[in-house]
Amino acid sequence: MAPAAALLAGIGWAMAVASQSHRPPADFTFNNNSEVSTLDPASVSSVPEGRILRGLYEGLVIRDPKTFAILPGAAESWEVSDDGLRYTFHLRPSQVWSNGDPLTAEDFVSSFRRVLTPTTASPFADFLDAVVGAEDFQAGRGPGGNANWDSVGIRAPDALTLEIELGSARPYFLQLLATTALLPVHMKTLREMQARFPGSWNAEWLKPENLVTNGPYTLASRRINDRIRLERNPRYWDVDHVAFRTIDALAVEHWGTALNLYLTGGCDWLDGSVPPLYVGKLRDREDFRLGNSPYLGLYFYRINCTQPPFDDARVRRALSIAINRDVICEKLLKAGQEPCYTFVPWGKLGPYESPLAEEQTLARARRLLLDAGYSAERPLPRFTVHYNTAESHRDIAEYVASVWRLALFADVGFANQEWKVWLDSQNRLDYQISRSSWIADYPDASSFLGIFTSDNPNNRTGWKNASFDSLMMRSDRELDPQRRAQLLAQAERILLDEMPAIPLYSYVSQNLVNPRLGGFFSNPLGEQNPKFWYFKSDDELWQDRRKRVGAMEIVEARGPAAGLYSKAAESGAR
Amino acid sequence: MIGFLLRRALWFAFTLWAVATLAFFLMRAAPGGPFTAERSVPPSVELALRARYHLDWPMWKQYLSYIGPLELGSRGAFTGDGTQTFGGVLAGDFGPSFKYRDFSVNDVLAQSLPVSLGLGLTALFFAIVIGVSAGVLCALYPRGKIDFGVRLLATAGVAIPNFVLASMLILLFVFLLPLLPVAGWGTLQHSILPAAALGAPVAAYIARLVRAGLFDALAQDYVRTAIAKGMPTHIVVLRHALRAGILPVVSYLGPATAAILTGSLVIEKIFFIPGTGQHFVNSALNRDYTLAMGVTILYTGLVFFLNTVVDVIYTLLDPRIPLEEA
Amino acid sequence: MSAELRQRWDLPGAPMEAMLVKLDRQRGQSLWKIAAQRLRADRAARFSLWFLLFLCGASLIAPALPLPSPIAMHVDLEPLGPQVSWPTAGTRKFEREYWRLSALDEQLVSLRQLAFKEWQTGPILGTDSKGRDLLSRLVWGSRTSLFVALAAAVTSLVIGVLYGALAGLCGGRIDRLMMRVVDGLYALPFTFVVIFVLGLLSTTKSVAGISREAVFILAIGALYWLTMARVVRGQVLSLKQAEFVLAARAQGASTAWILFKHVVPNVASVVIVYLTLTVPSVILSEAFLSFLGLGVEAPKVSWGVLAVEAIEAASPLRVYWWLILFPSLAIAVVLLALNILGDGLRDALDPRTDVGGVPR
Repeated sequence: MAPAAALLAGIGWAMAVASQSHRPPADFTFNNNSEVSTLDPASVSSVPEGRILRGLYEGLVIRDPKTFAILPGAAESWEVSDDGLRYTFHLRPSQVWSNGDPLTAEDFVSSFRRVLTPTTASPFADFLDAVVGAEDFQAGRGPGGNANWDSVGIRAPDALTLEIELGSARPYFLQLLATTALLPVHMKTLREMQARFPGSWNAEWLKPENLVTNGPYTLASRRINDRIRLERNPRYWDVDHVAFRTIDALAVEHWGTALNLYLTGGCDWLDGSVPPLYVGKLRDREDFRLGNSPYLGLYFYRINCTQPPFDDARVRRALSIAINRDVICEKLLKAGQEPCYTFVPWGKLGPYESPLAEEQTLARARRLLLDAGYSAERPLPRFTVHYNTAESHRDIAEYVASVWRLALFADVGFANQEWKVWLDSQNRLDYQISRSSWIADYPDASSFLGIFTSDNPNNRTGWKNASFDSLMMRSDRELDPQRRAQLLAQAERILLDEMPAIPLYSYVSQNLVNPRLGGFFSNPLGEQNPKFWYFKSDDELWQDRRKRVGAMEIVEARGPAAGLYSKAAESGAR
Repeated sequence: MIGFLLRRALWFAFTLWAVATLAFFLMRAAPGGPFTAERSVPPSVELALRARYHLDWPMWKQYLSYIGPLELGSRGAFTGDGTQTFGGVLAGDFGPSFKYRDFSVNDVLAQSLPVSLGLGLTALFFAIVIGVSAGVLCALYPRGKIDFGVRLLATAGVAIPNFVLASMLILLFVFLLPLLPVAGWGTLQHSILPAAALGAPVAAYIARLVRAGLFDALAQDYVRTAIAKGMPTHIVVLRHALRAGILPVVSYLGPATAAILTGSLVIEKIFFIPGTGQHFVNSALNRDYTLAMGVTILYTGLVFFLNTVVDVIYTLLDPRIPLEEA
Repeated sequence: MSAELRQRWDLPGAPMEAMLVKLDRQRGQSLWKIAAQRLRADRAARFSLWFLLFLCGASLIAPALPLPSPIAMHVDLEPLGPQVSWPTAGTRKFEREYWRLSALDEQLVSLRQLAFKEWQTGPILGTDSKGRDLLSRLVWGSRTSLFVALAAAVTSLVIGVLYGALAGLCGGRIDRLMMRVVDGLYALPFTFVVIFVLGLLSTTKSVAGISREAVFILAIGALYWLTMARVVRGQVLSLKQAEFVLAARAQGASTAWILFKHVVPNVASVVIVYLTLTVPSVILSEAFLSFLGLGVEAPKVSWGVLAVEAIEAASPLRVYWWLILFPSLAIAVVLLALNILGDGLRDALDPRTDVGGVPR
């Protein structure tokens, strides 16, 4: 009996520990898809971290959640000199951090300095490359061989003014300032923690009890693989416009689990790809928002251009031409993904327009292959398509391989690799064709094209082209949007003629979201700012629904809101 | 007894060391590293990151600094922004996690272990209660319909992968009969479904063991004597046979705990439970060297400890078996 | 022996006499013959054995069966439920290109074309999310699963028996050391090992040489030999001290003779029973790894892969019950059959049991 008693006591204890951390549900709960790797803005920029960081901190400027236009953030106004080299920001007076310390221009100077300091190891230090002296400081070069902060063009003449001086103009510099990498951090806490915990300060200053922030929310609690709880920051300057008192960000990775939570009201917003099996079941629901905006993410196949037969551009082009992207998008993925024939998804981005892709006919593909010396009698040597373990990658690879096999007489094998192994073999150019994807950092064509420059670590195809590099460099310095777009288009022309990679489709935003949620917009970067979220009143919701066209009616369906608006005829969501 | 425990402790230390060493080198031999990412960082940044975690050191030095609190001279080289120092495993410090950068491995384990223990113990409790009662039921009504039914159920319990079982349970008890929460952790209700899914195969196995053990015991002379003397069957089964029949279950508890620990990783994923199980696979896949080492050492220690406990209990229950043979 | 006599000797409560009768009856029969006889008497075990043999046969000759392609996708169709349907003439031939078929399989495909032309079965068990025929996937999946399971079981058998027998025969210090090594390996987390070994070997260079399946088989085999070694060693140890072995030795029997005549049959029973338990565990381990995305490589299927697809099919939005039921059923039935067979074998091979397979 003693062991049984011990077992029961153990369960009791563990339950007690577990329920200590159980809190009542937050005002708003959403699934963040994965555990954020860190809350240090200098170290991360992926989508899940971005949502939390934008809630916790506020940069000089922020982006409008709908249009991506630049809005005032911690800076209430700014001026840009005519040559685009000098930016002057005016901070809001009497802004404070969550602990009451005043927020000054000096905070931004020291935060930017931290990003540029080599030992911080910030992957985004190059966002500030254009700033006078920044590259030298980062590389540890300077007068007398020492890095010298005084020669870097970031200064705070007074507590509320910040000046940034660029060495060469960057047309998208304000967009860069709106990224999470350049959010301010409370350096005083950081220094304190360094003194108190010399071994582990790196973790300590980001703990809920220590973290000091300047954004609409503060960090209340955090448990790995569970949730991050945000609490409204009463000291935030615009606190009156922050709707939710608390927000929970879940880290559910298994899609089925997330869906179950959503359908039982356990969370209000779910993003991420719906398995094709269920797209049809959800399509008619008003809470399923699908592909109503382009998403700046490209799914493509990298080709290792250093090995025959793929060192021949004709072979690469033939491979690309043969693939019917419509089949992939409509038959395999089914969720409104956009077929891509160019490297900039949707072929259009702001003033930029992609050059026309090659005509997609099988005859042309075969012709190119024949020119390169391959035919049915002399087929391409057997090659392998690499992809990382996931069912959708597998399906696409199988489809693509079958096309190549039937149309181009190629003998294609597969290598399904675990994530890190797959990355590693891509980095070492130890592959022939490898499944890849790329999400833009900022809404600009250069964010897609730039990865193929010779020295970009994300190139990973072994493809090098001097005229492409120089066009990219010139476009970086060009201030006039039209001329810049032309330069970029010339660069993409080269890319399309050379095809170091095969663009396949662009991602699409897929959100299951409580119809009550306002201030929420699907946008090309999947970016959200928790500051703008609120729940609509009955009135507003009704107004919204009235705007929808077609025969819609309220049906009984599972979800966070009882009674969902759905197509009357075939609501599969019952 | 004390000699036995001492010897076991020595073996324990040796096993831990061997496993840790093997894991350390195996992990670093695997392709890719903790900072390999789809978005490559500039080379200078990668160098700085590697320096921060001392991955730029020669392997032997990394190994020594991981194992013990040795002063290796250059540890203070990067005292500026970013350097991580840690005391080494011997000092009870598993170091910083590479993936969850805001946490040390000790933090991660401290957060997740109580959750996993709660889940595991509940599952074990469930498995023992269900398993033993089912086994006894079989012995009371041997070769009848009940016996057959329980055996069929037991086979199903072992045969159906626990992730399939889990989704069945969710459909049944969350959506068809809205009784329990679908996922998450914190209250007793949250733990019922995952514990059932996790404990089911173990329960099934225990039922079979108990059944076989009881049948064996019922064939023993002293039990036959008791029956011959006219003692009611259920009393014989519960009072005499069970004591002997439960022995195989005790020796199975070691492997059972291991099964529950590894099985929990799937269950944690499906029920969204922040336990240690997920770290097992994720840390390995993320090449989170320190966390993977941490969970490996933890697992090894736990299994070894439980096996020892089982051996001791075994001899306490059946004094005929000497400790060394167990 | 007269019936009269037998009746007298078969009196209950006379074990000595009964044993003599038994000995008389079994005179001249080897242990194996007795076992086969007993097994034949056990209806459930016999049925299980036939069933398993049938299954193995079906999966072996899968290429020759008139089944639709297990991998050709018809993605524009919704999954079809099971339906009664007559074989139809398939529009496409069996696609050789996906699977690199062995020479034997090529022959089987030709055989199929001879025998069935282009006729193939309809969606008797329904189709899955990609429009692939479930029955065909189950049959082809059984190929992978059963092959992996058997191969892993054999690997564990070879290593385990050799190691265990060696430890048991040597005894003493060496035995203790060898068993402590086993203890140590027991504590090694298995998932961890498999993930890393898979990671190490799935770089391009080794893909051609060693497939994921081979790694998996070796890893599982290497895991399961531990228990096998323990079991065998225990048997050998107790046999060494057993009276009949001592007696044989006292009569001057050679070691080899003792080994072959007494040790091997006695160990064999335990080993065979344990094997029937290993095969199901391997099938489940494979499912577990498939859940983590580390199972067999696409486009190959296995029951594990089908089980993983089953959980996607179980959603409150819609339950595609056939995708859950049939793969689970397949695994469950095989495991049940193996269990029954294992029990039957244990009884049949146990020298202590009576004819008829009922334990004393």
